[in-house]
Amino acid sequence: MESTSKKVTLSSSDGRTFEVEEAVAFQSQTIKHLYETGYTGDFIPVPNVTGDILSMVLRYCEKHVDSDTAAGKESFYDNKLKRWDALFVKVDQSTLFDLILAADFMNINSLMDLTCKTVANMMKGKTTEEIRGTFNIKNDYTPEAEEMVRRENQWAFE
Amino acid sequence: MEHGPSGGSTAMRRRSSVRGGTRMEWLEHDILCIIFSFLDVFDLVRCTAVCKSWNAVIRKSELLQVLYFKLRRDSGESTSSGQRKSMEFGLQEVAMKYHRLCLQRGRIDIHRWKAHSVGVDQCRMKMGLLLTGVGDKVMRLWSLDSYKCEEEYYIPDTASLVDFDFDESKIVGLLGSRVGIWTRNGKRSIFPSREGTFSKGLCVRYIDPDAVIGCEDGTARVFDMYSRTCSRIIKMHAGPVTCLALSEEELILSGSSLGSVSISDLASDQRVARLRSTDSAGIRTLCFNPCSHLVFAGTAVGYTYCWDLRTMKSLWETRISSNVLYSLSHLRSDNSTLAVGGIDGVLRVLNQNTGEVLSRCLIDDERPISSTRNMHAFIEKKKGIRLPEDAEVDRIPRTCRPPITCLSVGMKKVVTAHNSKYIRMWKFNM
Repeated sequence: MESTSKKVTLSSSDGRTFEVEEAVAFQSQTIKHLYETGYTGDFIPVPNVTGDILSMVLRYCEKHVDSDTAAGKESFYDNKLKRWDALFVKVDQSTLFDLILAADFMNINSLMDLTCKTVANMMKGKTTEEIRGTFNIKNDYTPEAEEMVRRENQWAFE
Repeated sequence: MEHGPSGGSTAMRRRSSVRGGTRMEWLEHDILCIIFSFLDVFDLVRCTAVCKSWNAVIRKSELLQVLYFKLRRDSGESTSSGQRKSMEFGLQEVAMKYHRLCLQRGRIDIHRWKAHSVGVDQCRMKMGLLLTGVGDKVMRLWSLDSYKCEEEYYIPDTASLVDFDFDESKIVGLLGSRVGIWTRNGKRSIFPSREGTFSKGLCVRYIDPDAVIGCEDGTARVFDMYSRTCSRIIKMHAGPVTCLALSEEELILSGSSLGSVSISDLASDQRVARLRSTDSAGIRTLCFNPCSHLVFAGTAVGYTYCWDLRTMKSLWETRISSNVLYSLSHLRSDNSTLAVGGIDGVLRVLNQNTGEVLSRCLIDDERPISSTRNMHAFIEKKKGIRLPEDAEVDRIPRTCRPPITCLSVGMKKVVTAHNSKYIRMWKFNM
């Protein structure tokens, strides 16, 4: 299928370029929309996303295009893809947040869900103090204000 | 639920300091909402206490409302019927329903850790904290998620601890014939009463400023913790007072080894009622639910009783075990389930309103265990199983059911003490 498909070139914030099939790039609703509204430039700038992150995002898009076309929705491929996704998001926190920002900017729904869900899983079953620790968040409540918030929904803290 | 005025800034973009990569704080409101949308109601409510901006994001979104309706649906409640209550009130209600479902049907994970160097048989859990002791020379206060010992309270060499309870600011302990008070987060311990203030105390409960001590001579001694005097002596029973519960209406409920529950008014010293058990075996444990006004009791031969404090009438009684029940407990705002433990080591979940045994839980000793060591403790993890209705407890090996000397109920969890060095945390999840 390689021979027949059209290619497009993406350019990252740090000036690296990536040539991919149109179908891969069009996983991004932002890029798809750009073409549909008549964009004719040689390459597409992705100004908010670095080359490192963009290459990861495109790897994700390629995988998901392949799976979409090759297997439809068969469960075998579905499970395989889920395993691939799980490995894909095994990255450090900073990279994970970068992927979220890229998925948001490029408007790739499935990647957005995957990355956000990964972050949510890091909060599950933890105490507020542990969540602060996990994400290095500063507690800006006064002790009294925090106590008020806790009291409001006492049951969730018991 | 109220919505704040539009445009309230929760700006989290602080791109200026690019140190250590991209941080959580840089994610915008909409993105945080997507992340939060993957959480359940318990996690989400806890997130409101993490920082102000998260609280604002969660409150502005309708995530809590959505979860509220989902939880109602999952708990089998129709969403169309019924008047629209304020969501915050309703949220607690459906959370309690979910708690009940988890205790009744959820999968069970049991974490065990070494809490003391000698056996202890009491535990109290509240506000995300656990206090363990009685049997050791020290009481330990634990954080529930990390199993980290946060504070230690020492008992004087000459005394031994009999019973205790705690709150945000202090721990009140009964040291045989006197009372001890330990301040939380501090080094101070106070022993306001002299040795021999009470004949022999067996149990203690308190409502500031009064500590009530149940004594072997059948009296309840009311001790003012601040003026340090024993203000009243109330004759409760002919036999020893084995357990106590206090109501917010200042009633003292006491159980005796002769098998009845006596209720007296703390202010007037007048006896209000006497509730009789039908098996006349000693009452070993008592608890009172202020939301439903129900009193629960467990006896030395395995009976559980329930009375309604408004009518002083018996609501139900049932024999759930052939042996001693040591402890019963429920979540403070839960009107549906009661956890009961005793010498047979089975953790039973009862319906508060009917006495029906909803589930019988024990430790799955067959399956391989996994162990983890976190920074603070070595935690042994096992699965819990539920006994089928027709299974006989006596046929189950004792290793699956070490005697439960005390239990305490938290949200979707129960902590048990076993008169051993180890404390167990039972987590129930759907």
